[in-house]
Amino acid sequence: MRGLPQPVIADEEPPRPSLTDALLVARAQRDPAAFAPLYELYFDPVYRYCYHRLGSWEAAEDATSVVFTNVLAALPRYRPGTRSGSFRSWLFAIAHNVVANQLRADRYRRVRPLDEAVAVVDVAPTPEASALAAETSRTVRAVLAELTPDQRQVVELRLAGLTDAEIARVLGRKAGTIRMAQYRAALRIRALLRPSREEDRDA
Amino acid sequence: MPDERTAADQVAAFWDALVLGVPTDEFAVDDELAAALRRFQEIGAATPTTARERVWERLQSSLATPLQAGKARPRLGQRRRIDGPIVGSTAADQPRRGRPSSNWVLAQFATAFLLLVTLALGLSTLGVGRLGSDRPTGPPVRIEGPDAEALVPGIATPSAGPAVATLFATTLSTDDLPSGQLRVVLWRLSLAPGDGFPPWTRSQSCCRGPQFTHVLEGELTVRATESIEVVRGGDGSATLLRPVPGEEIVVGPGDTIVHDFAFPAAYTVRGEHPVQIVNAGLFSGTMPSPWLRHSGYLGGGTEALDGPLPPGPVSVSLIRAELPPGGETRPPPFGSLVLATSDADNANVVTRPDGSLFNLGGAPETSYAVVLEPTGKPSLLP
Repeated sequence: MRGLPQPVIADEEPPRPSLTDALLVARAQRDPAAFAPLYELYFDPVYRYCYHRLGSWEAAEDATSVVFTNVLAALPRYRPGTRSGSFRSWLFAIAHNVVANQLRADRYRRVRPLDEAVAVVDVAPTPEASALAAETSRTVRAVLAELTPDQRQVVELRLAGLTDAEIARVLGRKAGTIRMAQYRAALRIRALLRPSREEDRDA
Repeated sequence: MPDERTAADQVAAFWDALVLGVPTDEFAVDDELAAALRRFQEIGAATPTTARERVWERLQSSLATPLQAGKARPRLGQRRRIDGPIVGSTAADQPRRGRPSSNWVLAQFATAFLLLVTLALGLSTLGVGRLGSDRPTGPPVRIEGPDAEALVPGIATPSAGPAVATLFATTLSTDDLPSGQLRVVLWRLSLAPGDGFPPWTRSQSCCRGPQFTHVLEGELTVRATESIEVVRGGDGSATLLRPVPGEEIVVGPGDTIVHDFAFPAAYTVRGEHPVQIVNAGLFSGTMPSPWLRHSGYLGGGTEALDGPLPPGPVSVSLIRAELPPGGETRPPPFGSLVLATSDADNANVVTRPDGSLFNLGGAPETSYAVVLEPTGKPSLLP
């Protein structure tokens, strides 16, 4: 290890592990009134996950409300680093269970037309924004509908921003099983998106 | 042609990078698949903007203690009627807070009366003077614990709670280190049976500097492609081995492999059990992202040194700290740089500005840290 020349590198800096979760969780455990930052951080991914699983923004909103209520109730008992894993894994395990309960309650299986749902939820989106949101949501849901249940569970958690290790923990499966399901889902997604990409080029 | 499992690992690493927002250029995923996943992830991330405030409002009403408002403070006039029942506890399930009922007031008076009667009986039996007579007077006396035993230069065990062990230690001379902007790195990795490390095969020319790979559990087969050193530590002998390029050597718990970032050895897990390792080093340049999102990545990160190293050798210690809830280590000598990571990457162990490690979680944590201590001055810290 002597006399090593200086390399020329141009690559991105790797991310550092975030301390945010642990600090925010510790604070919220001591004082539930300090829950707001955690809510800020995780609302979007949880809401999105619930939407992709339940199929309507309205049902997703209800489910998200239950998820965070349950998280608040269970937070004092959460022990980071144990079987619960990271806070994110633990949170999404709760979300996964809440959504499963909702799906079991048959009334939430009713899927509303997405144009209607977008119009209900967004206060004053422009017509273009509504149309775009409806179109993209329709695409995502159409793709998800083509996946097997196992693949779909993995992809829904991916869309919520989870890594494969976190997904394995949330679903309680081995990482290798998750990766294979994910790989096959990825191939399917590629095949399903191929026509629309060609349409884009034509346009 | 990679087999399905390898392809699945590559897609997993690519998708991890995608959701984490790190560069995805280094992954061996075909362009069409990469573009499809990128597009799908992007369109799947759309979220309506106002639900956040409505849900926050519901949460507020479900709590006895008002939540501190963040950006999610609800605006007036945006509450939406919820038609369906909600599974679990909601505002409707909570007791109404307001004026107490007359029955509740009577019950409170009855309880207060019973307490007064009990107190009066206690005083008449024991006497006023006896209460508190055993209490010590004067200022509180500090109870000293056993003196801490310094396990490593820099971080020591303050009490019987935390346990700190040195896994590997060495001293690097100025010649051992590359010039320019240096970074210290620490990764905690779990390598599955059949797995390789580093996961990519093409020539690694990203960065220069010494790295140390310490085996915690399992057996790792190492093939030297350039000059490497293996410090046998598992048997307590601290024997130094120098396998010739091309030679394979099996390392186990307690052993440490030392080589340059620029000339990585090929690591393979040939056994049936995962191999747990911790990898640390100093390098100049930036590592490619596949290193980060290795399939067995459990935690880690890098820290930039602010400016060049101070003159003189730098001691490097790789340590393991087992910290109970609330446990902490002593800070290292002033000027040392500490980079730590936990097993679960959930960051319950934080590194304080003075370099001490503190477990703020509610469960015991095992944390690993690399401690750089300049033997000359000044400090490694900004």
